[in-house]
Amino acid sequence: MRATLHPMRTTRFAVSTLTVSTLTVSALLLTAGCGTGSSHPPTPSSSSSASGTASPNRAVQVVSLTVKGGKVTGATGRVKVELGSTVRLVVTSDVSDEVHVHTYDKHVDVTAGSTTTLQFTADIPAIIEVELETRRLLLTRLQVS
Amino acid sequence: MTPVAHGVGTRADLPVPVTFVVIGAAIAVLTTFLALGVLWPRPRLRGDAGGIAIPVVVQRVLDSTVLRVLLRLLALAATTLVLTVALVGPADPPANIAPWAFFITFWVGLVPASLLLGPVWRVLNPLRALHKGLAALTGTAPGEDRLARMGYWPAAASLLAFGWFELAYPERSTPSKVGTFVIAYSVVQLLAALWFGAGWFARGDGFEVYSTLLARLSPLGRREDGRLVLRSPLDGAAGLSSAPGLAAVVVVLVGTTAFDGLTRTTYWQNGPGISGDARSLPQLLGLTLVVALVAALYAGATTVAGRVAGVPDGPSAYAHTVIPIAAGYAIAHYFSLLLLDGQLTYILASDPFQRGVDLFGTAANAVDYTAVRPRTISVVQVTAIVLGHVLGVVLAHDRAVRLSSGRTARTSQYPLLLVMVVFTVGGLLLLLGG
Repeated sequence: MRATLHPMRTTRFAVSTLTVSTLTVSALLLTAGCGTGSSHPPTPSSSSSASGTASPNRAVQVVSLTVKGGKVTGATGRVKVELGSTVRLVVTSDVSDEVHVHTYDKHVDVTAGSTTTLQFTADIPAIIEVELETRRLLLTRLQVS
Repeated sequence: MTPVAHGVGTRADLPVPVTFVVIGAAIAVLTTFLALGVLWPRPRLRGDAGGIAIPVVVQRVLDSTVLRVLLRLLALAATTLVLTVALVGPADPPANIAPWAFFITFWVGLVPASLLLGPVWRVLNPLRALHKGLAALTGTAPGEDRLARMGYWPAAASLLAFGWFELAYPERSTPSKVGTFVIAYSVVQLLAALWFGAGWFARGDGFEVYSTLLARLSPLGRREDGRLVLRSPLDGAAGLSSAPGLAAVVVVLVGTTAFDGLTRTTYWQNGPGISGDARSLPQLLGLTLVVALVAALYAGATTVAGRVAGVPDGPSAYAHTVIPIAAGYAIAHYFSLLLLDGQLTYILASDPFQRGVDLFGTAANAVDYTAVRPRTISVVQVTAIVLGHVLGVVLAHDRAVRLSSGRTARTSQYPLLLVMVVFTVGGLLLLLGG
């Protein structure tokens, strides 16, 4: 079976080359990741009522949205939020409903014709949706990173 | 609550850093050229003839009727319970186990389970248990001899139906809708199985076919002599015999997952999908277009490849090469969903009817959304896509040198390799645009 030995070795070589090169992906990616600075989630501040005082370097990020006639205006689409910062959602609505921040699971009622505020620490890194819960109306998406 | 693109879920992954995408794409392209240059000139993969047999004792236990019956009854009981909760349990998705168990634990969990253990759903499939009982009453299956000609086309259709429900149906996370879909799906499957015989499930039940195809990449496989073996994923995939409709199944899998990725991009969310889940027409059109695009790319490339190599049915001959790519896509898009939102299944299982009981001591838990760091998710996503690409390229090479040789084999690989690069770079760009 001498004839098959050589090709088999080539085969093994080729397969191992491919495997090694693929495993390098992870290694490279991890290295690339370390260079840009690690982002440890900071400890959550005391409560949603706490203002920007929890982290003196970071100002409160205000995200204002208005619902009128079933249409949303203001900070719609995708809003970038720094991980660990404080977000203040300001929602003005012409209908009564509940503002819901998914994943964080924060709720606040809004009554027709009024403005309501919801403040919280953005401590979960992800893209999350904010909506009027019962109408399933998408208000905005927060990109926390 | 609104599902974030996928059937159910509350969050979406952050965009993958651009350096990751560049590195991943570069490695994918480089290994493709490397494969053309250094891989074997004659077929090397042994398919179902390959593998090292595991001890007979272990195989006897794994293959024992007692174990198989027990596992299937457990799966039947769990499915019945989840369906009952879907129909009569809490109406609010976050309080009802059914959407989470179905869209995440079952559908997404099927991927790692099959990749690690083999064709788990063929073993567990509760529909097979129900069919066995019903078939005893109805007698012979009249359409049994027509099953082979249909190939995997019924599975492609049933996976497309599931894809539509999962990604485009309005308010699909509502427990009663999940329950209704599962019951409708089961009734159709059972009727078809009564007509075409028990062999139907391996050709027409999309969930079972998905699991069985992914299982081809599992280190645990069954050799052609019946022995359970440890084998290379390449041998497992190469051992899949081609059949009509197999290509359609892999195209649907890649297409539906790619569309799910598309709906998470800023392009989609600020454009066609700006209304979120409120409008289902953009979702339906988008899903159809993406599946059609993947189908056109795949069919075009493999038809040319088949013509160069002199084989009549190119798309069928190369279908197995797309399985690792589909697996890579699935891991990249759903890995975090399984580990994060998937925790809800275990939390809700403690008190399925919300009566204040705590069966497993998890009822009071909250989902830990920081359990996996964004960077870890990104690394897994890019690695899965690139690894899927590399396996696909090697499988395509071996199949090409099996179908023809020398210069012809080499030339026949170009179109499919090009399309694989498109799938991979496209998949990475979807992660970048997330």
